[in-house]
Amino acid sequence: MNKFTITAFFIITLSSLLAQDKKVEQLDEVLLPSSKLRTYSVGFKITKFNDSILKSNHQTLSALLQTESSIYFKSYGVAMLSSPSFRGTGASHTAVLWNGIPVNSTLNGQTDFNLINSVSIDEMTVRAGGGSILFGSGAIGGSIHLKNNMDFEGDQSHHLLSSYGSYNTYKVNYRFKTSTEKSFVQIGFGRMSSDNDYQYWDTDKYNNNGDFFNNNLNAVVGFKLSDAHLLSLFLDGTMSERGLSNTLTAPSDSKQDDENYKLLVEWKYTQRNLTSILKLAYLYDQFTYYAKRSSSDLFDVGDAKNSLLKYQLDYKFGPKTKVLSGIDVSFNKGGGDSLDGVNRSSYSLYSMLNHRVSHRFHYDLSIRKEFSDTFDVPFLFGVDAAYKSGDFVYKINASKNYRVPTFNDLFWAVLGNPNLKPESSYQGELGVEYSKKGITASANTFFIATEDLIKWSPNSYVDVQNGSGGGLGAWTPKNIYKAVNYGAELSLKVPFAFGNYTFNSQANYSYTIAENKQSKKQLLYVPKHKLNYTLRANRGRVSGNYHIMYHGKSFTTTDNSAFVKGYLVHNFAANYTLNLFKNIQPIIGFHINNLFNKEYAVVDYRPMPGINYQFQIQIKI
Amino acid sequence: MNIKKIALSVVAASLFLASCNNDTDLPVYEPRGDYEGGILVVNEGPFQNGSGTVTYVSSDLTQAVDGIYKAENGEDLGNIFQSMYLYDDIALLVVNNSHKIEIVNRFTFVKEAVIDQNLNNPRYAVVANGKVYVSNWGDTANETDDFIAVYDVDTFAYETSISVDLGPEKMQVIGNDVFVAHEGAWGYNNKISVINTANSIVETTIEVGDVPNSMGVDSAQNLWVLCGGVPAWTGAETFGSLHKINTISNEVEKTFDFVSSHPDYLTVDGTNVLYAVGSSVYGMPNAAMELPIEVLIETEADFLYSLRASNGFLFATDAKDFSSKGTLTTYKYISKEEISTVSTGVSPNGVYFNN
Repeated sequence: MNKFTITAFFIITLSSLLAQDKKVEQLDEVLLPSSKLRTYSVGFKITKFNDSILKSNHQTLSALLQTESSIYFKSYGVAMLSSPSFRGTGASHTAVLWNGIPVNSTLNGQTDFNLINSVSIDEMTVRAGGGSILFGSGAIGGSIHLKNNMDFEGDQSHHLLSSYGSYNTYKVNYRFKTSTEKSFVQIGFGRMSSDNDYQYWDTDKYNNNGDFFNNNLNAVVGFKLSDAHLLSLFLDGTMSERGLSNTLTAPSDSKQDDENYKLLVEWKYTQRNLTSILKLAYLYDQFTYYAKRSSSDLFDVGDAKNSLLKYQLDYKFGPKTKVLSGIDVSFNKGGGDSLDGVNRSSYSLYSMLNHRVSHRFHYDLSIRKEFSDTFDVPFLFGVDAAYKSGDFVYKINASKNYRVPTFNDLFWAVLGNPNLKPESSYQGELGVEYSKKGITASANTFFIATEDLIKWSPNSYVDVQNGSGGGLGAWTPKNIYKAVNYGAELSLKVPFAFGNYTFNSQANYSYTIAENKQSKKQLLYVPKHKLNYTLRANRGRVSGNYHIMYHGKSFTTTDNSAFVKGYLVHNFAANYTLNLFKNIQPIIGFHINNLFNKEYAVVDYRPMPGINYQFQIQIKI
Repeated sequence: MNIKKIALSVVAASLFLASCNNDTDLPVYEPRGDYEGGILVVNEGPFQNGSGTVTYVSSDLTQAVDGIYKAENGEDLGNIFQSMYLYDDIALLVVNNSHKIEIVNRFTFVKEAVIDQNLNNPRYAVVANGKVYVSNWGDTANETDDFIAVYDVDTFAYETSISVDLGPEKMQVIGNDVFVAHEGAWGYNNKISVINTANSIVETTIEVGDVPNSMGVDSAQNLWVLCGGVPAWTGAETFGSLHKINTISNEVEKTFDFVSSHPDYLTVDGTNVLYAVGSSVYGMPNAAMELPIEVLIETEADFLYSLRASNGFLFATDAKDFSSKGTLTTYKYISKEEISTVSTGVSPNGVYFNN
């Protein structure tokens, strides 16, 4: 079967992240690039992680979301590929948007959160539930929105964060920001590197091919041309090299380099009843896979170039009614050893209505149609609503969503299947939120039925006779299964205080059934139970966080005959603000991950590290 | 039951003869281990992250226990368990992606040694003339570094490596020669190398059809080589062929061409030659002049992954979707009678008789 290994490099990529210290600033809401997110999603559960959370004590964005949300990350190792998955949907069923631009890889449909440095963003919003109408392909389980903010307050700041820890892991993040009443400039740089050579539990094996580094350079520039016109420029470049870890049973000497560049120009025009936003973006992703890092002349290269135009017009027809209409045009081009010269173009039209019937009751109606030169995309429609009663808000939403096949699926040399259809899903959700005196609680139930799911599987003789790509036994992608997901999510947030101590206690629990519709078996790597708990404590200059994360067992075979054990992991972090100078107050932090040295793996045979430490210092001027 | 009876009687007879030379007590048959006399199935295991397993199937075909290597040794066997070779009282377990060969007592499955030096993507092993021969692909990205590694069978000490043509795969020992089929690894090849075990030199190369994927020896010591042909997706598709090779002259005596198919899994049982196209099994006598037209047995496997015929029985494994447990189905192939189906590990690719 090794013969048909269509490779580790489909599924691999890595990196890290780092956090950014910044006071939560008062921002001019009108200027937020994707405020439509809340307006046209009244019936959805939306969770915002602002800068002060992003700067908290998680080493990577994927660690933050694993610890503080219901999202599951199929994490192949500390710096290896780590893609988010909502509600038991697949790794390519989460749309990730960067300043409103979809950034999932054209090649594999995923976003590797280990390639996103938190120095490059100011805010992250998690929107559970289908969102293809607003966000396009891939928003089947949910969407994650990464955003840069800007302000025009006329001040200037430097922020430096540096840390050193176990396995010779260090990182440096620096950001400079300056603004006038008319202009804003921010430049950031981040680097993280690690030998990452942790021991595999109590075996004599080590992660001896897991070393990595990544560099990020980013810039945000904004000019207010007038009170009505804002012109912005966003730039982001990440370059990473990482060894691909050995497993418990197989050595590795392979390596992957990634380069991702994003450029976005945005022109926003705001009038009393009208907001018009034009975005022009260019994205470039490239990977280079070395089967043997010692033979640097033997490698495979793949790349994707995406050009996008997005235009949105948001019009207020009165105090109660808003309509958002938009067009997305995209042109994607693949290149490299296995995807040479393939391309795809598409455009989409969408429109949504937001109606505030009363201060208690809001609803949205939405539609979208995409036209592509490669395949037929279904007509999409959705409805969502919110009803407020006392301290409770009841939410409901239903929509049709889709994911287009990736370039690898469609065009991979010889084995790709150009006849693939988009995957499509219907989803519905009911939720209730409670909020009083800082205490918030929510309960949601969801249902998702997905069909035409794409899976790479070996050709049978029948496939070959039917003219499917590849020969007998060749692994090719096909639209071959259906899935049904349902479950519930509960979350509770309680702030409280004892004397001078203030606390914030937060818990998330999710129960997820994700079944292959034909076999009735749970899909691979979907734990039925996921629970996390965070306690934050503060007293004056001292603060501490305690995190507990539980994942139930997840199956590794389609007949559910084998599984990865469940695990419970504890992390702890303490921070102290030094009072050295009047204007410079460095924060020093000490973090302990996997406090009880638990042996665990997210992906079978790929151990995660035991107890490890980081020392961190942040300076803001 | 037949296999067990035959096995036990052969074993008992040999013990009896051996014992009689030394003393006059009545011979007492003592089982040599829990796994004596049954069937062993090689399961490659999950493709990316995981371990292969060995399934033990009782000789009456009613019971199957998966994971006997781990059960006896408390450790995983390794990633992509490709093949096994039984010799004397040992079994050599070739683990492709872990680049090693575990050596266990074949009856107890307790680990005795490991070979992990001078291997690079090992595929198959055989023992001939006191030496272990292991086919290796070398680095999969390099088409010129393929080799046969040679070890002493008693000490497992490395002796030499024989550089060979692209993609050495299955091997067959006949007399003092090792016949190596060059299936072609990630590429395609069309050769059989013949290694003289007296000096470990490739003494001749026999050209066959494209992609020789399986071999067998009939009761007349002819070597049968089945070639699958080059798959369609290469744009240079060729179809299968079957070759009967005289192992005295090392000449191809007869070639059968497949008109439009890609056969695999040749297995020879005395004078019967069987193979599969897709999930259908075909059979013919070794004296046949034409390929059979009629299907012998329709296995109904989702993905037929190996065939082995012995004493009128046919053992077929089904890898299903390669990410769940497979099955082993046994037939009496003359009467086309299906006898039993038992569960195996993930991706079962070979059946071995442990007697």
